[in-house]
Amino acid sequence: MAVMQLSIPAYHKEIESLCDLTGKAAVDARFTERTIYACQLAIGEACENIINHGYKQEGIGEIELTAESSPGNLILVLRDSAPPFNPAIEPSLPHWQEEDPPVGGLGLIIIHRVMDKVKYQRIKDQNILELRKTEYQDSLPRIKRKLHS
Amino acid sequence: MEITTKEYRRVAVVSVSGRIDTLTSTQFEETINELIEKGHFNLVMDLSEVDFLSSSGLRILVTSRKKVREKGGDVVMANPSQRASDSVEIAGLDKLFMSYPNREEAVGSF
Repeated sequence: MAVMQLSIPAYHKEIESLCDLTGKAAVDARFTERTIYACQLAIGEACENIINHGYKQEGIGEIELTAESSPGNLILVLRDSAPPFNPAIEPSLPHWQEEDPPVGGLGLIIIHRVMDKVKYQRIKDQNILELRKTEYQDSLPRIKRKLHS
Repeated sequence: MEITTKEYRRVAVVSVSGRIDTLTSTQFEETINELIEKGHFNLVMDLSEVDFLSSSGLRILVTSRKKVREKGGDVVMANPSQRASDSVEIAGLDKLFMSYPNREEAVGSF
């Protein structure tokens, strides 16, 4: 299992570096290109939420990302010191009309649609958001079979 | 993010490259609003060079679509990159935007 960690000051311009780290970890997890991008998108949305709804402004506090990857599995843990903010509550998606589509809550929708598990904890004045993604690829068992044949 | 516009008689094309996220979405929104204020209600979004499209950018697309449809227009996409398409689809907004394989067909749809 590979572990990578990065802390950023809570500015929007810094979010891209956490997306990059997520991309590297997702590559290590041997995810497909589309899943790698989806995970980067989800972590970007989670960080935007921390700044906009947790800290409520830029430049206050930090965001720390720990990424653990193994073949087929990725665990992303975000820690911040903002007031309690729980994005793990899955947004309800009422049926919407084409003329009145949703404009709010899209970030949460993306996080929950991309990740398999979204878990929130508040420990010692920290928000801890754990995002898990699993992607089984046909190629992995084949590679293992080749190695063992 | 780089953004360029091309105005035709009946249609305006907005071409974007790079990231559309919370940092750049204001510029994206202002560009579209300027076109709408000029009376362009048929908009083609050329997102072929977009490599990141966050919810901030999606919100602009949705609100712009609402504005122009109130005036009888629409927003369509021209050859969106795989990543732009994935963002739209993950957010569940893919049914809102007609997508054409190239800019010419998108312009010609109006």
